Amino acid sequence: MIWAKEFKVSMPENLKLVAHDYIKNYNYEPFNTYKSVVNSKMWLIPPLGKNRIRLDDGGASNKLSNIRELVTNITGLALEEETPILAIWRYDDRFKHCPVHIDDGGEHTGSIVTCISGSFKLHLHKHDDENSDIIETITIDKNKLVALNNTIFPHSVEGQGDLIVFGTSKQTNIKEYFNEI
Amino acid sequence: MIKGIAEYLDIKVDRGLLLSLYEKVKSDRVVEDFNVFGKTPFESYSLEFNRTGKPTGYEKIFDPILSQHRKVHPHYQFRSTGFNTANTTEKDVFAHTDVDYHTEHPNGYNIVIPVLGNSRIDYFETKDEEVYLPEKNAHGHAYYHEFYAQKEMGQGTPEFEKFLNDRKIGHIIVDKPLLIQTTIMHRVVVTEAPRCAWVTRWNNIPKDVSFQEFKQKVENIL
Repeated sequence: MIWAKEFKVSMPENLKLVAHDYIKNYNYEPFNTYKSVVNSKMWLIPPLGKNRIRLDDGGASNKLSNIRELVTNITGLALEEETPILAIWRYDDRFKHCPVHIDDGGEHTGSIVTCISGSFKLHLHKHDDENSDIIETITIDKNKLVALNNTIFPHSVEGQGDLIVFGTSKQTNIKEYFNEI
Repeated sequence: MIKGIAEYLDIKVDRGLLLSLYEKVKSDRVVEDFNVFGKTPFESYSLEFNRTGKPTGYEKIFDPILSQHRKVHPHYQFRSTGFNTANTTEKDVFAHTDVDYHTEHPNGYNIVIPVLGNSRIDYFETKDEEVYLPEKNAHGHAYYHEFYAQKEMGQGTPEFEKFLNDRKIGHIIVDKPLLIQTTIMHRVVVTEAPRCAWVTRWNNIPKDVSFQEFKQKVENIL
């Protein structure tokens, strides 16, 4: 099984426009919501209330439907419909590095990552340990989609800018999808 | 597709066979087991080592496919025949030609069969005054052209990308087997990685065998 697949892409401009508009109008999720987010600013579309109930997103999900369709067409992965469909993670001077982790897969198995500003390095590590050696690195920019085998392989992210993460459908067969020699 | 330059082939492909052959040679040992080319970050499991010109031994391993391809035409270039791989979309092959000036007959055509990932081949208007033969292979033969502009502007610079865009004449997506003409400047853009494709470069083909005639022969036999 491989840890990631990369795809070159010309992302329609409305991803950036919708995301920026959303950031202006909605609060980021409370700090320390997730194990690996620590105190980074993260916006979820739609936002989540208590007990992870989806709140109104002002139509943002609908505005991103063409992007979601494109992402599925390019990567061959169906995207999550029930839980937040997309996360915007801001990496700035206070948060430059998402520590090494393996996602538990509770909400989605497999992630698709791109960005709308800046650039990032997605690292594959030998072990799920902060000091673990980096085995391989993928550069993420706005012209790339990376399908990440996030529930199997230890990974970390560093960079500056706004990282976009799409969750893949719970029905995704990751063994089949990431099964390359 | 670009008619007469890069066209899809209607042939049967045994992807399982290709995957099994790739699995036999796939390795992490740079230079010892596969070629890297400096300006081209592709990794190539071809029939000879590019630095020495010595056989890699893969001709025997790849015989299940090469024996079929020899039925099409008995001559192929060792350096370019085999698996080309890239583990990232950043590992493109820069604009170039493939040429064989030392063979008895001048024509050469490449079959490209996708195995993993995806890619695109871009073609560029090729003017004699804009290209040159930058180096010779281990056998002492010039084997590809490069744009002067690449040396002057730098590979991957915005200036050189504009130069290429101004000369682009078309492209073909490598999602099915294809036959390509290689004397026109072209580059490979990896659009999905990991990417692996099989290439047989048939060479020493008589000058009166046209691209279309050769394509027909490939489709009749394979």
